[in-house]
Amino acid sequence: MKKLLLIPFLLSLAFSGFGQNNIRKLPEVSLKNLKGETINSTSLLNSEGLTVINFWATWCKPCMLELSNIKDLYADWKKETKVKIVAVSIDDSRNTPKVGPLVSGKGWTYDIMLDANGDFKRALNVNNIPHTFVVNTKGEIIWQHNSYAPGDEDELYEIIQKNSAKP
Amino acid sequence: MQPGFLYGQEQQGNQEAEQEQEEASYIHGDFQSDAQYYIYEPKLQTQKLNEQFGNNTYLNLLYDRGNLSGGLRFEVYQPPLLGYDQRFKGSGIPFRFVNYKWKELSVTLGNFYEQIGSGLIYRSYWEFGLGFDNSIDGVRLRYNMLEGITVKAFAGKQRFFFDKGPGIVRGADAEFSMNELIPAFELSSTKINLGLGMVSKYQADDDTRLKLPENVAAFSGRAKISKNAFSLEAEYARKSSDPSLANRKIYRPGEALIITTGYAGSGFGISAGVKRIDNFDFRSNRNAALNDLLINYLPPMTPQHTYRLATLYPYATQPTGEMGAQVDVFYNAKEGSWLGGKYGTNFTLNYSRINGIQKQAVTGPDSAKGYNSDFFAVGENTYYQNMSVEVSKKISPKVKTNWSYIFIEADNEILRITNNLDVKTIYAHIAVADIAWKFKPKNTLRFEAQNLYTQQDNGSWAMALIEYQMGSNFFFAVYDEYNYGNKIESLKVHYLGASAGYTKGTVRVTLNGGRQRAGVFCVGGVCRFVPASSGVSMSVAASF
Repeated sequence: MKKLLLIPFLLSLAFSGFGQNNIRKLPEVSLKNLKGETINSTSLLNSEGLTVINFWATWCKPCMLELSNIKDLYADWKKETKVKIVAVSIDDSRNTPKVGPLVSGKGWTYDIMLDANGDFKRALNVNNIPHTFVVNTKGEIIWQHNSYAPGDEDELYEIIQKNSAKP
Repeated sequence: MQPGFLYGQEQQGNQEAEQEQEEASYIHGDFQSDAQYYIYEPKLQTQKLNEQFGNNTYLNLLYDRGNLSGGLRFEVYQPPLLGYDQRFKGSGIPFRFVNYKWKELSVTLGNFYEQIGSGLIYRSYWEFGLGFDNSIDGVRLRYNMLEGITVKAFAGKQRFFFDKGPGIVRGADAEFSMNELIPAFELSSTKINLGLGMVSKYQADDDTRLKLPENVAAFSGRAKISKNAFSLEAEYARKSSDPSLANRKIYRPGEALIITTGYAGSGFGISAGVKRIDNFDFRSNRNAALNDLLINYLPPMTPQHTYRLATLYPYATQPTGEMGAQVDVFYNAKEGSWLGGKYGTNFTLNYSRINGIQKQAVTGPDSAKGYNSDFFAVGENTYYQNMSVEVSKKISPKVKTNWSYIFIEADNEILRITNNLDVKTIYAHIAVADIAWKFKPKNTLRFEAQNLYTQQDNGSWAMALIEYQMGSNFFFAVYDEYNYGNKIESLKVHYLGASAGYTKGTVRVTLNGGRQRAGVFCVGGVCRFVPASSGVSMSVAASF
């Protein structure tokens, strides 16, 4: 039961930090790109606009539907708001070799990252996918949403437009 | 004067911002609670339970402040839901850690998850939906030694329900990015990454009859090479002799090899792979069975199906020996083309086959070695075969369709999908139609019709589902699975049920009522059997 003492300790530490403008920043975690290179999560940030981070997997039907539905809109979104979409696959080594060919076969043009053992997923407390985050140029997580229903992309784009710098 | 003054102010502003950033601390976490009330229905052959209620709950609580982070996880199983290991019963904090980062060095004390290469010699992970967690409680270092070299090292004991396993696991890994290490290679379009890993376990020899190795070591070497659209990945692992319950106490080294290659062009992709596994069950307790105390992860080389009836006959890697091959093709026929039609058409094909390895039993004084096996000889028995085609086609701006055909051949004597030992090889043909109709903005109706034809096991099944997605917050669904092909008239049962869900931001609540058929639920390489049940369930998930 000594372990339970940890909680008030953690909470007091946390609240000591509150009161400031405390929007959580994107945590620093190592990911892999499709070429096998190690990429730091913070280097994914888009300096020109917002970054959308979408957690998905090849075995997740709603995830595949979401990314396929955004596919046709992405070119316009980029042109209008300079947003960048990073699709982070949480497939494990059973399916990671298929991710690159699948993305090509679907015609997706997102930045694709692999989080094969879930380090990034856990750091962002993603329990079910799809899970989408919107991050600003400072790395602050300004919006997040779990699950996908057809039409949710319109709401996502409203958020992107509202938070993008006017040219 | 003026510019200098301004410059100074700006400096000060930056410093303040930096300080604020360093001091900022965040508490974040995630939570899920799944509960079910069970109703006894003799017709479904459900178990009669003393406790008619089950509940699995966890809460992750994490804390970050600058370079320091820490966290813990509460888990409650009072009692565990049906289909989960009943040894989870109880509650506690089976996972807690602190981590500190000094620039290039990161140190974790407590529980952690880690993976070496594709997991052949080491992988620890957590899958709440499976009741799987093999985190290590100990110490881990990650060090970016030089530009292009990353080193990891760890040691500790594995989690075992609310306790720890008896063995100690320790490991080290080094990863080399050749493009960063060799200056002339820096700008090359060919990317080469290499890795070398080692894991060993210690467990005292408690056997009175046999002399068992107390230290068992495993090594692996891996490479990933990619150039433009091509990529090639390979990992080879060896393990010293490890007599265990899984290999029937034979004194034989283990071996594992996986090679995959891919081409990712424009609108077209292909992935192909081969594998060989020989005596590679690796656990921190040599007497462990089921999914207990696994050190490594042997990825199955078969597709991971998501449609309900296609999940009836899944494949699980056979760590004692298997050889397999798999090809996937992904193709997007452009809009306006002959195959693509007005809105384009998407194709996914898979063929995979897993056989045993050839084994010649060793007799005489060396019989403890078990068997000899020719590395290139494919075993006679086919354990599993999968052939599947999926076509996705948009018919109009409002209607999207998905059509699948899947053929599965599964050797039940090896895979033990059903405990009925009269069932030898199962041949199943599955067809799925999945049609989504967005009849007004943010409102979608989806229909699913599935049929599984087989003459083995429990015979054929049909399934239908209607789902209504109302706005972005609500969904309602009604489904029925019908075992119309069962040879026993009284077991031709309808598994009818309904669910509803509400999602807002990162909070999700789901309710379900009705019957659920027995089945094997798999994520990645680990499966659990879920018995048939009837009742009402609720699931709440949130993250913050």
